[in-house]
Amino acid sequence: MRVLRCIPTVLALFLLSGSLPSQDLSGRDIMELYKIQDRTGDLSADQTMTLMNSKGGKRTRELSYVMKTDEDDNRKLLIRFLSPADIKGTGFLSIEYADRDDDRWLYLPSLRKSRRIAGSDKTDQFVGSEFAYEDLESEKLNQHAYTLEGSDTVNGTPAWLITAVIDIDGGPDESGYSKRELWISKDHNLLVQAKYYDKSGAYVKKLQSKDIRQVPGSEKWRAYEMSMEDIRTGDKTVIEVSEYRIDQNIPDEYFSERYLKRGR
Amino acid sequence: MWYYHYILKHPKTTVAAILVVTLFFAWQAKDVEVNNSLYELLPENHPSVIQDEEIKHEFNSREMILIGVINNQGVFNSATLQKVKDISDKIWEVTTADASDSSRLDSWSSELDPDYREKIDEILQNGLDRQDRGPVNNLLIEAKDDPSIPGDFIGFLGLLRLKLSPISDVISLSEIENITSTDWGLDVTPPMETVPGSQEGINKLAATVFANEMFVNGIVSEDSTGTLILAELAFYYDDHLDIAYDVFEKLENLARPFRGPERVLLAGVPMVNVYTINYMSGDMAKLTPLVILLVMLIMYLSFRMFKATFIPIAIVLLALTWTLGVMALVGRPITLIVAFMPVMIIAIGIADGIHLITEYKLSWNELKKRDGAILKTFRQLSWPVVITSLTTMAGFASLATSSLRSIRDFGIYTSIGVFAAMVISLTFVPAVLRLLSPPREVASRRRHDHRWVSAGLPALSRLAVGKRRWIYVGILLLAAVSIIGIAKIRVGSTMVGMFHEDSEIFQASKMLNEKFGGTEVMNIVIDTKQENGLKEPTVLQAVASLQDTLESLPLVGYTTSFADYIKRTNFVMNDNNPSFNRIPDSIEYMNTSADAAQNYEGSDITTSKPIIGRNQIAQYTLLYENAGGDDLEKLVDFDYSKLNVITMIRDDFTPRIKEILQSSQSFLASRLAQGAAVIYAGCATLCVVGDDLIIPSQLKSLGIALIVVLLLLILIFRSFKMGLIALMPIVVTVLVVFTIIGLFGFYLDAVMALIASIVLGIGIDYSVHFISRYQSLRKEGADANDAIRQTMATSGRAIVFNSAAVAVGFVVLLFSSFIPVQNMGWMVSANMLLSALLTLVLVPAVLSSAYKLTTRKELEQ
Repeated sequence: MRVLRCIPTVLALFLLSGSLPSQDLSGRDIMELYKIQDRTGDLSADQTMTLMNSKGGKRTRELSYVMKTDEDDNRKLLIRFLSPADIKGTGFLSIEYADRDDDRWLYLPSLRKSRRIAGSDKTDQFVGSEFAYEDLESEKLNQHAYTLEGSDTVNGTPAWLITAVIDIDGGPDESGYSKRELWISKDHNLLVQAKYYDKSGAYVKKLQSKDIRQVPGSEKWRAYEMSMEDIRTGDKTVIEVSEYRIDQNIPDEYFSERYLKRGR
Repeated sequence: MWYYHYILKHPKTTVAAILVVTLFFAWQAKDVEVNNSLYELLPENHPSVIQDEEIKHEFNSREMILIGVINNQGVFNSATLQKVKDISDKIWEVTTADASDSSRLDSWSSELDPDYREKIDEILQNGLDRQDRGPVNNLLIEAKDDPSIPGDFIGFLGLLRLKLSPISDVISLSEIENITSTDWGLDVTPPMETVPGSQEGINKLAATVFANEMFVNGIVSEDSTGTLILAELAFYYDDHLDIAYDVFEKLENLARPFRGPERVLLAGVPMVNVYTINYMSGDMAKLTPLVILLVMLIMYLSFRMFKATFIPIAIVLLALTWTLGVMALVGRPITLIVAFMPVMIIAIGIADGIHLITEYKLSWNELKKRDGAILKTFRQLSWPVVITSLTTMAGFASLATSSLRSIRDFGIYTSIGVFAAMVISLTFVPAVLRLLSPPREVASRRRHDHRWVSAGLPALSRLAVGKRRWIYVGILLLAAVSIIGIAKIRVGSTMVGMFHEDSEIFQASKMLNEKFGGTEVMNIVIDTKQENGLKEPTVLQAVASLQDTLESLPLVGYTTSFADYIKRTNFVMNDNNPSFNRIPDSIEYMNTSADAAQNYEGSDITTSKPIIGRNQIAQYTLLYENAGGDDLEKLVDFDYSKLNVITMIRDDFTPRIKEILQSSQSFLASRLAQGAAVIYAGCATLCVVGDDLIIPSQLKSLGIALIVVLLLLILIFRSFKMGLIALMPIVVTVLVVFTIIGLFGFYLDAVMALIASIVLGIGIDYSVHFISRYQSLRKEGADANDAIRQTMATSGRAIVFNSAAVAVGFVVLLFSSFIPVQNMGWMVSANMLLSALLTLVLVPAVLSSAYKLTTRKELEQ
């Protein structure tokens, strides 16, 4: 319902954005534009995830990523590892709830068993990568305060620079960040760069999105390469996407423990 | 002599020049660092040291401080548990930044752009505290990317960041990762996130903790009367000693209010080092004045004149300052071995002063003219001062060939000290004597003092010459005994064992070693040389049985490795079924209820789906990583080719550590696949490395010292025969040193290894004095027995006083806080006296034998 209420404003903004000078947009306005670009009913992607450490070590995994967003903007996520061979078939299911801890399940094909795993910690690293679970969640506009800091250029792309801080009345702050700096491209309203600050205020991670293209058969634009770098250790995770598929009407049953156990 | 004329013409300039040089060195000396970590002992380029360094960085293994919370009534009660929780929380908050950092940051601010200034002002608002670590971190990142920012500022910010958050990890009941499986699912959380409010909750917590075998002896004692909190430094201890030192102090202060009835004890290798540094500083502050006082007393007793005591003391203090200044310039720290160098320099340097003052008084009595007396003194003594300094320097400098760094430092710096004392004796002393008023007429009284010396020495010389057969027999017997003694010498060292049993650190280490797995760490790194090689079940099975073998040894209290995490996950994933508390097999057949039913119908067990152990391990690893586990970075490398078996040992005595090392080596030799390599690292391993270097180093430096000193002696006396005779007493003394070490059951360690060289370096002076005097008397025409008698009366006397002063100087070491230093104190004292005695007995005996031989030869001809 919250989303529906937003629509008139968003529409108005959308119509006006062509004629209005950008400085009249607020941080929140720009984030609304970002949400329009970002939001899909479902999205699946074939990914190659490369974990790199500062000493030159490299580990590569291929995975299929399937995600669906409900009308309250909560995400369901199913990830299946395709390679290396020793973890092929390992699956991971996560269901986000607005009012309680996420549910997470893991399926191990060697045991043919799935196990629910504790998922209270959004700050945990996702499968050992530099991405935290919260980095994969949808942007919750109503839980943050956004400030437009100005304009900047990222890799030649003009972008707005927005700072986001948690702003929830009384609710628990589960984020590991005190602040995020978000660079939203002016051409497609996509997140092209982000800097993450931990609770002490220290700059800890940097996200960069590259190779931005329109997804074939969709009006959405997406980054085909994303990298997250840990500033202190120099460790880095790069996700390269070979293909995005958007709004394929993936049924809700796909995101169930039963489906997870099918191992494919 | 023009040189002394010059000094006598410009005494003030000379004194001023010496004082300026001294001030310069004193200014440097204030930066001398005190550190006694093992890394200061071992050679930097030793393969084990290099490997250890690599392993440390590869597995992020930084020093840990062990904080034991002991309650004899048991720790599972809410009050004790609350303390554990509070201490753990407070450790995270430790910062060591202080007002001096604030003012330094503030002074930087004025030199930088307004942008930086603004940020610095923001950081400095409300003073520097833990809250500022984020902003400081960001400022550092920004400054690093900014080429206009001076490197000094970046360096300062880097240090400040460390000071604001010097602790990188805390492991305790409230922090450690516990992999559990419940009806609900899998969880990796600490067993005690909050302290249970009810007895029931506490019982449940105890049950949870004891159900995980990785915790028992690790963070709880088997009898549940102790629990351990580990604080890991965010940096390598040796890189930032001063910050580490502050952290330890903060931790000690932090622990204090939690004491009673619980004991809260701090131990671990870094703490041992801190205590060593503390006691060393205490020793230096206590022993240096004490040795000065004692030596002054001895001099006063021999000269009965205050001025005469002041000059030798001035020599040694100036020489000491110069030496410390040189050390600071070279950037070497004061280690335990170097710490008693002051005592050494005082004990040695005093000799020059004693001889100079004695001679000056004699010359004054004779000439009654100040300048003439000074010139006569230095004409007589310059050469002996130079040669005895050179032989002593040669004795100590030979230690520079040692492969152990602090022994090398000790040798080099002591010889620099001896050199400085020589320079000061030959410049400062004549200038000061010129400036001071001449001595009063007291010298005539001197002959009546010390009657026992005056009477004893002729008797001794008669004995030496008359009963020389007996003396030779005695020496031969001594040599025979020394063979037995030397054969019994064992090498071994301990850090904790250097302290007295009632000292805090000894007690804390003992208690924590009793309650937990041990305070000494050995890292056994197994390198499969294959990416993902660790995921092979046979490898992990070998590792698990290595750990069982190690843990069956009484001194190994705890081991942990990647294998434990796989075992634990296997157990937990199989519904806590004890038969799965093991590493998966290479191939297993599923036996779950569903499959069992299938098998039942399907007849043949091999038709059931095989589980590949390798895949299972890979998937467990992924599961663990995904559940937020990050302990693995200390246990495996990035591509799973190497693992680290962390082995905790309850003793730091090296012969015992060596046994553990050997049993691991022999186990792995038979169990490890071809191509795999094993690397031993960690403090415990390095201690053993040090041991293996001691004997070869000792032999090498002693051998070199003997050769160099012999060559010097031959040059000085222009006679091969005299050179050999001069060396005899010291060779016998060195044999006695090793005999004592062997027969008394001492272990040869880095401190003990010094004794022979010290005795050699100092003791050689006695025969140099004796034989020079003898030679010059012979040249003047005296026959051998007369020359011996006269030498005994003059040089013999000086040797007695000199050796007594040195012996008393070293006796001061008995007041040291370190047991090996105490042992060294009495050993050097006793052997200095022995070496003097041998000089006064053996040298005359041999001289008269040699004289007899030559005269007989001449007669025969």
